[in-house]
Amino acid sequence: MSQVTTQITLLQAILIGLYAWFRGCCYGYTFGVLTIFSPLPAALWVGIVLHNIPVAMMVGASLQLMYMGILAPGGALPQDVCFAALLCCTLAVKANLPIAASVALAIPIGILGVQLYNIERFINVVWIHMADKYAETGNTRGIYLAGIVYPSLVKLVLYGLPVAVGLYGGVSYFKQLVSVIPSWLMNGLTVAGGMMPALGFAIVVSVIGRKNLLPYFLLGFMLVEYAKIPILPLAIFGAIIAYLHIVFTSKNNGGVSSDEQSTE
Amino acid sequence: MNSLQNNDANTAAVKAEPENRKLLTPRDVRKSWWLWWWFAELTNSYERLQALSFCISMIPILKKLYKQGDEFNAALKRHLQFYNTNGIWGSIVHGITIAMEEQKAMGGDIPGETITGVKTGLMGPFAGIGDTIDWATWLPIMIGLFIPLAKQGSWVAGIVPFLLFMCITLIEGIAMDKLGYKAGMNSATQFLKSGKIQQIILGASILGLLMMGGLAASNVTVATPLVIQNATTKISVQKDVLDKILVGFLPLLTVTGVYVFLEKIKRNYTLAIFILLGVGLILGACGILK
Repeated sequence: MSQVTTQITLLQAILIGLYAWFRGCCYGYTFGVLTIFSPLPAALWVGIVLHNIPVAMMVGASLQLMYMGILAPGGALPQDVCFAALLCCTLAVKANLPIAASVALAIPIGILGVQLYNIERFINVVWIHMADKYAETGNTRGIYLAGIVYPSLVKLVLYGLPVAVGLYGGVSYFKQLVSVIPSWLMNGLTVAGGMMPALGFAIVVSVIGRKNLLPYFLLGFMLVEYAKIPILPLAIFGAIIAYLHIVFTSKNNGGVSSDEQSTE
Repeated sequence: MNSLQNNDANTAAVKAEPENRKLLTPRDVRKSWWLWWWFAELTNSYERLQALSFCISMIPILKKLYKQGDEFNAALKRHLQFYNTNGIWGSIVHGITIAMEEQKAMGGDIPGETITGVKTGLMGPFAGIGDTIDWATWLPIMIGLFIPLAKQGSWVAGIVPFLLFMCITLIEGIAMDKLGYKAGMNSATQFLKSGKIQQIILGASILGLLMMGGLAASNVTVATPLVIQNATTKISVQKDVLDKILVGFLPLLTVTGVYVFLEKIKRNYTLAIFILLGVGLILGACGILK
């Protein structure tokens, strides 16, 4: 395989940096914004650029499980999922970072990355004030520039540059670091890596926020634990159960179930 | 136009009389929506969030409705005010805004403040609905379906769930925008009042919870290597005790622990991450868990 070379080429670093730029721009509300929340597309991109899709995707999968519930459109982002994914997948492919350790490494990188996101939202205040001025004179070309062109260019520096430079300069140093991880620490990281997905699921359950529906979580857990149902059939079961729940609860007491009291 | 003047401004926007010559074509409305979809989050700022993106989407519309001059500039400024919603379900607000601007340009008595008021009044409820349905439920379900493939290292999981999600939300968004433009203010209030939307959220929540439960069972891996040794027998805590009580006891305990921490102690994801990491590291390094 291609794991013989540790160093990544300048072109590869730039390509991965460009993904970080794209994630910064979020072009397309349900296309670009996804890149903030999900490490899987980032993993695929790194896999393609570094010619090792399987390893990158496996790292992406374990990050995805941990970050399942990280959602904050327009709100405060706790972790920069994309940054963590780009760096961890690259290190896994190029510096043989074990998957379990990559999950632990993702956390500090994610927190570092989110600072850039916060800076960005301060910088964006500049564009809207610029647009205010252009609006005074009806200069729509100016508004397009302030609202599309300038922010896109600034994000190239804010997001693309740090990732590209960091990867180009840092990967080989990192390989040495990985080789000195003691085995007791590796055991700990492996256990922590196995537990981390619990966080993703707990967040999703908490965000869905319906305490009276919690038995359905338990039902899903038991069905897989004891009946070993694969995930697609489980989704079909889920859809049927959801449908039946709605039908039964809306007929029982004149169309208003306990879940729908708020709409009464 | 005079007939409209005494009416409440909101209903004026709704009762676009069919014989009135419309200033905008469906194509204009669609084009404006695409501008919104493409750049909705590009300039999200702490001060006015999606305001600049909304204004950009309105530029082609306003250009068609108003002549260059004070009225046009005022309209631009109107749409640079604070705005934040879910880009898909909030599209209904986008459609309503276009309809109101069109009425205003045709001479309807709609003060600019009314348009701003409608926008800020509706953006919240639709953000709540949209974020719950699309981001918090559909997306995790869609990703969840492809997790097994991702774990095998397949490229499919890196793109297919996201294309699916994008297609579904594009259809939702375009439909909401159309609904808002055609039916105006009333569509929004009726939409919010009807029980249908609550049922959709209920159904999505059930499906989401069941899927998360199933995924947790197959993806959270916690087990203990501990062995209880007495004079004659060796008892494995995992195989002979925990698995006899409940398969998946430790994973379920872990998820429950994190959930209770978030719900009852502190809703701080970063803190939760560090605690979980710390617990895993220590128990793993000591050999209590494997």
